[in-house]
Amino acid sequence: MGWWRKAGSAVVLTGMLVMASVGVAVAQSGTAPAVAVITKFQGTLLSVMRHAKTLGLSGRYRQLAPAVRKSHNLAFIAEVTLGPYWSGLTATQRAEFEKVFTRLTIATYASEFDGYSAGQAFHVTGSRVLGNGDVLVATELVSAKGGQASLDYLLAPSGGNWQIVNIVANGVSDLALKRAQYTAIVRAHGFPVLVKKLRAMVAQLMVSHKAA
Amino acid sequence: MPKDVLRAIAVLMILVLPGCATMNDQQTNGTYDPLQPMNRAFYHFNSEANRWVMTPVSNAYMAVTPRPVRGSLTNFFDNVSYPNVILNDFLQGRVVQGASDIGRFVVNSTLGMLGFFDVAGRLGLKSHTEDAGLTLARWGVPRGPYLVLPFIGPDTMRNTPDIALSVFTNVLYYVGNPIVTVPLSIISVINTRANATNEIEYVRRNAVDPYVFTRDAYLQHRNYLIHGKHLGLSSVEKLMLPPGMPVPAPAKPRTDPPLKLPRPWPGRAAIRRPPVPGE
Repeated sequence: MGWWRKAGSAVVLTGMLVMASVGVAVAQSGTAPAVAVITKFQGTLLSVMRHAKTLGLSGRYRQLAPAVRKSHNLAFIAEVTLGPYWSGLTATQRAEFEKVFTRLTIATYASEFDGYSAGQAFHVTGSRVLGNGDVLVATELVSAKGGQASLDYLLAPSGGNWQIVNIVANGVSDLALKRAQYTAIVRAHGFPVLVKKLRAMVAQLMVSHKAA
Repeated sequence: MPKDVLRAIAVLMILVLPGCATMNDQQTNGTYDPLQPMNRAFYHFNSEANRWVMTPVSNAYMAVTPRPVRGSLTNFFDNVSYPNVILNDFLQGRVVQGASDIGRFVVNSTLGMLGFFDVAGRLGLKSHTEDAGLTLARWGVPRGPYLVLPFIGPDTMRNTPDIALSVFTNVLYYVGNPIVTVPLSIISVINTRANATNEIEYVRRNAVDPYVFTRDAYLQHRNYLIHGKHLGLSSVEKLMLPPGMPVPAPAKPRTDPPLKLPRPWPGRAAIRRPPVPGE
């Protein structure tokens, strides 16, 4: 009787392990297209970092612009950053905001990723499908000296592709930070002031690096 | 600072703390900033102090100290303050991590020559981040209001006991000779400021509203540390599904065209969401 019990337990345990591994495989295959988007984008970013000095800021901007536009759902991100104020904007204002927001996003990438240290690399450390169908891809930027920064990407389907809708660096959400700032400015000073500030920021990002 | 004063501060912090416990859950999550006018004033004060005093001092310090020297000084100051991490490990019941951190402290204090060299790190005894604020959070104490303290910067009511605790648990506190401790404390402050240069510059370049940027980044990062550097998926999903987002306060007089009243959030599905590729 004891033998049968042990055999039965082994069968049940094996079945559970097989089902669990199948589940993991299914989950990973479900995230593969989203992971590919991140891998490709980070490849472009690393290439730009490696040639940062020769490219210069405008060269980095030009190289990153198509990659950022393709991998990020900038229209959606722009909409979320304005929270409830988005619905009060005219079509012209929305287009104006999307335009300046897109330029700011690319300029920020171009100005911040302005160099490369030997050994720096991006690694995908995990991925999973969230409850609402979006995919979270966890990555880290490591350096040869052992330092690392965690970069988690949230991707959602859009236009037949997976696109980034939020980036969380060391637990800090880029989308949440932008939404908090933008809504605070619109609330206190109005939409035109926000757009004016964002335009000035883009100009400042480009000028300060040109000067450097 | 005299020991009696520090003890008085510690007692004050402990007395203040129960006040935090009365905060409700809504106040402990998200951005609870009822002291914003005072915080903004202190933020402005800190920014000006940084601009006119700390930045020139920090630049001069970086000019005269090679990077490896600054790295060793950072290791040293981290090591003398490490008993605070060990104490909080055990207060949280993290016995294994506490044992590892004791090993790290002993190895770096001896083989690492008072901590100037991180020998323990190379032996696999990794550094951890723990403090009284994280301990209280894991004990379930609510966060309380966000604070900006003069000369210290962003903080929360729940973290304030750590200001005193980190003094008492610092090895330098027990050296007792001001000729040694005062210059070291000054160097520690300058070294900390120098190490934060990149972050300060990042905020200057990228923040539209530096106060809001600093506050939200600080609170989010603390939340991340409380959860053991694990990104809470529910919080991510919450960010992307903001039906509970508070309606902004009535708008002040403004120069832009009047905004319509915010309509209910339509939900992710309603916004440009075509079928999932491959489905």
